[in-house]
This record gives sequence, C-alpha cells and structure tokens, in this order.
Amino acid sequence: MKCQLFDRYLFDYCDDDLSPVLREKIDKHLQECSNCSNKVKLTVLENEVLRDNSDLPLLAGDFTNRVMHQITNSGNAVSRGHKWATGLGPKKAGRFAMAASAVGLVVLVAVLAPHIMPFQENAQVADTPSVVSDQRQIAITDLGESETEMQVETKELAQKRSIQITEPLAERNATADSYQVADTSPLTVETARQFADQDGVGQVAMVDESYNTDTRDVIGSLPAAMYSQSSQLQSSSRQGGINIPPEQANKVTSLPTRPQVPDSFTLINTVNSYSTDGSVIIYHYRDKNRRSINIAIKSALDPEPIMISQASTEAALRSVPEVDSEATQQVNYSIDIDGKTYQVTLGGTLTPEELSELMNEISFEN
Amino acid sequence: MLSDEMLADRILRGDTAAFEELVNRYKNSIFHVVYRLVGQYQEAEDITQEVFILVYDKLYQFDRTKRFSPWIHRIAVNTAISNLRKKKKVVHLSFDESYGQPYEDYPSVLESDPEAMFERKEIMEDIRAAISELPESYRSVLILRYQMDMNNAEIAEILGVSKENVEVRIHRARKALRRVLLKHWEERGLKKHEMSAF
Repeated sequence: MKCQLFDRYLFDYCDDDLSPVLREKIDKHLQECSNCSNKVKLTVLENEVLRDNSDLPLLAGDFTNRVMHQITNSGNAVSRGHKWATGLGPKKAGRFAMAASAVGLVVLVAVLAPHIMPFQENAQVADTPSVVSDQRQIAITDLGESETEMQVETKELAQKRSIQITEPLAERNATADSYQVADTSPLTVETARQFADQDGVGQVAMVDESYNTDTRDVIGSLPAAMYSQSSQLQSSSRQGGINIPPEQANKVTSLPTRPQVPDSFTLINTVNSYSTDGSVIIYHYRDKNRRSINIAIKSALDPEPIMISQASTEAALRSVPEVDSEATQQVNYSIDIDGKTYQVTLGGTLTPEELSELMNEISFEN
Repeated sequence: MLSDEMLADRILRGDTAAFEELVNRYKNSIFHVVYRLVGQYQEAEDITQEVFILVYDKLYQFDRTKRFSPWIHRIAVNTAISNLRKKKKVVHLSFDESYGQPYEDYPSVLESDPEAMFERKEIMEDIRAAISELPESYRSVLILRYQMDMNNAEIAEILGVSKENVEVRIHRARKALRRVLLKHWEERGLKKHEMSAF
C-alpha cells in the first residue's frame, strides 16, 4: 500500500471502521512508514479529544422548572395540535368561507338587482355593487332571513345610497327602522357590514384594503381606541375588560383558540372584553420593532360589533409600557371553523399592506 | 415507560407533566450538543431553553410516524447554528491551502515517551482550539459522531441528509481539522527538532 492510498483510509482506520483484510494491509504499511504512523498517532489523539466529555459542564438544577415556568407564562401553543383533527386547516377554512361568501354576494346581487334599480336616483346609485369594486371585497351570506325582509332592507340600503352612521351603535335596537343615518358620505363596506349584521340580514365577509376612506371614520374616531366607535359608544357590559391567561381564552368563551400569528410577534396580553358573557377575546401582540397587532374575535351571531374600550386597551398595554398604544389600521373579516362563523377584527400599527398580508397568515382553530 | 412519541401525544392534549418528562429526558443531551457548538455555558443554557420552548411551540408539526429524538436534536443543532450565525462566529476556512510538510516535522504525539506527556497535553489543547475554529457545519457532524456517539444513519436523520452525505461530511471535517491544526503549528514554527521531548 502506498501512502496516498493510506490517506484515504486514515480516519476509518482510526475509527476501527475497516474490513479485517484492509486493516491488515494498513498495519503492514504502518510498520514500514513512519510518516503514516505519525498520522495515525495524531488522528488517535484527535479522536480522544473529539470524544472527551470530561470538561462538559452540568445544567443548572432548576433548568426544567425554568422551562416549565416560561411555557406556562408564554401561552399554550400546543393546542395547535388540533390541526391534526381537522380535515380543513383554519387558513383554508377561512379562505373557503370568504370564497363561499363572495359567491353568495354575486347570487344575492343578481337576485336583488331588479328590486334595487327602481330606487336608484342616479347613475351613482346604480353602482351599489361598486362596494365590491372599491378595492374591497364584500360578501353577504344569507343566514336564514326571508327574502322579502332582505329585499326591503337592501332597498333601504340602496335608497340611502350614501350613509354614515351618526348614532352610537350601542343605543340602537336591532331593527333597521331605528337606525339614524345621514346621507352625507358614500356607502362604505363597514356601514354595510354593520347594517347587515345588526339587522340579522346576513353575515359579511370583508377584506378592507383601502384605509384612506371613511370606513375608518365609522370604526373609530379616537386613534387610541383600537376597535371602538368611540369611548362613549361602549355598552356597560363592555367597559374595561378582564385580563385572562391566553390558554384559558377558548375555555372561558368557547371561541377559537389563540390565533396563530407569525413567529416574529409575541403575545403580550389576552383580554376578555366582556365582563359578563365573555364572548369577545382580544389578543395583543408585538414584535421586536415594537409594532403591535391586536386580534379581536367573537361569534358572528353576536349582533353587537366588536368594540374594545379605550380603558381596556390601555389597561392591557400598561403591563407592557413600551408597546405602542396607537393602533391606526384595521381589517374586519369573518372566518368559518367547524361550521361556526366568527368575526375577526385585526388592527395594529402596521401599514394597510402589512395588515392585509398578516390577515392571510393568521389562523384559528377550535 | 412511555415512549417519546406517546409523551408528545399527551403534550398535544394539554398534559404539561408529559412535557416536563420530555424536558428531563433530553435536557442533558440537548445541552451537550449545544454547548459543544457554542462553547459558552450561559449561552448554551439559554439556547437549550430556547430549544425546548421551540419544541413545545412546534410540537404540532412533529411527524408522529417518525422518531422524536432526531427531531429534537435537529432543532437543537439548527437553533445553535442560527445563534452562532447571528453572532457572526463563523470562521471561514480556505481548504485550498496545502500543508504538505512531512509529519515528522511536526511535534507531538509522535512518541510515547513519558517525557512527552506535557507536550501531549498541549497538543490536545491545540486540537481543541482547532475544533473550535471549524465551520459549524463540520463541528456539528463531529459533535454528533464523536460526542454523541451517533452512527451515520442517526446523524443523517438529524441533519436531513443522506448517510453517504454524512460520511463525506465527516471525512471532510476530519481533514479540515487536520489542516487547521497543522496550520497552527506551522505558524508557530514548531518543528520536530524544536520539540526535543518528542
């Protein structure tokens, strides 16, 4: 055997990983070649160092406790395992719901168009479906109301042509007649959603991609109030909020479990905005750049819009003072999970584009 | 005793005691790998903790048809390497350099003379230093092979490569280690005639 060939087997030879025949040949070569013999000695010493564990320190005795403590405090991600039990993932379910809702809208518009037209006063009114073309997507799904009722209310919606809610929502009854609207601004997706929701006409799935519209004005005039119409609009049951451990969020409300958000965001607080029935949960997240996002979820059957009082928001954020308390953008949409529909409001200090992108990345599970 | 995979099932059903059991089973092994990769106690402990939080958080992604041990070790290796890269601890080696000097010109080892024991110890320190300078991709295979005493198949499972690829990586890592070591000695001008003890 030549030295060059020996080099190929040096490490295997020292790891005792060669056939007896080959090993015998190498042994013979080593007896004749001091250079290769030195290589073996050095390799054996390297192996000794590579295998040496004598300097390995021990973990601190409380390591396990610290891990368990951190897990307990950071929320329960394991419940995501329910993914396995569902055939349709939450994202897919959400997208499916939105697609189904969109189809529903098309059908609804086709059915109602003849009834709407007579009430239109000008060409602009005829553009009622432009709610869809206004860089937004809106879909109304029939929740069981009679066609006649839907037609009447839709006519009213069309008649108003451009409506803006000027009355505190909390003071309204759940009938269309009690709404006070002013014919001062173009019809917005949000007002349509509230109109439909409050009246039980249907459930709206919406992706609002345009934030420089009056949609935001309807949602909240106070910049620090993330989801509220204004602080005075809060019903008494929604004043303040209860901070709850994230892992208990779905237990106390029967709402979906904590939403899955991109890893860059950390959950900082979970608030049950209802003090009595616990049907709205708000999750507050932030990332390393101190950007905050807030995800509120409630049952779609709950007639009241999602609102978080300013006091609740501030109370939640007080525990993490460095969090930017101003949420300036938001998106409302609905999701379907296991046959149940929920309304989600996503807000935060992100740009509209980031929020829209984030919306597609967030998922829920029951 | 419950298998790791059964514990994982229990954890996913909300059994935190099962996770505690899993932590106790793997904490030393994970810390071992991480410590060898990062080389600092506190950092290694922090990363080990990070690994378990990640495992808890990503457990739903664990493929229950596969073994748990390679999965958690893979997370450990990746997390440690990721932390090293963040700190730019990567050492780029030129493997084109040739160290053609005959071995008899280098110290060491080369004799079993009792007088050489001191130098032998020094050489072992040199080897340790050389290992720490290897790129993490090489160190990780060496750690898994020699520290964790894993075979090629196990290492392949952890690193997500073929067994053949592991074999090649180990061989290259060994050769890289040897090059770094010889380079150190050459830089220090150590020659056999200067090391009379050998």
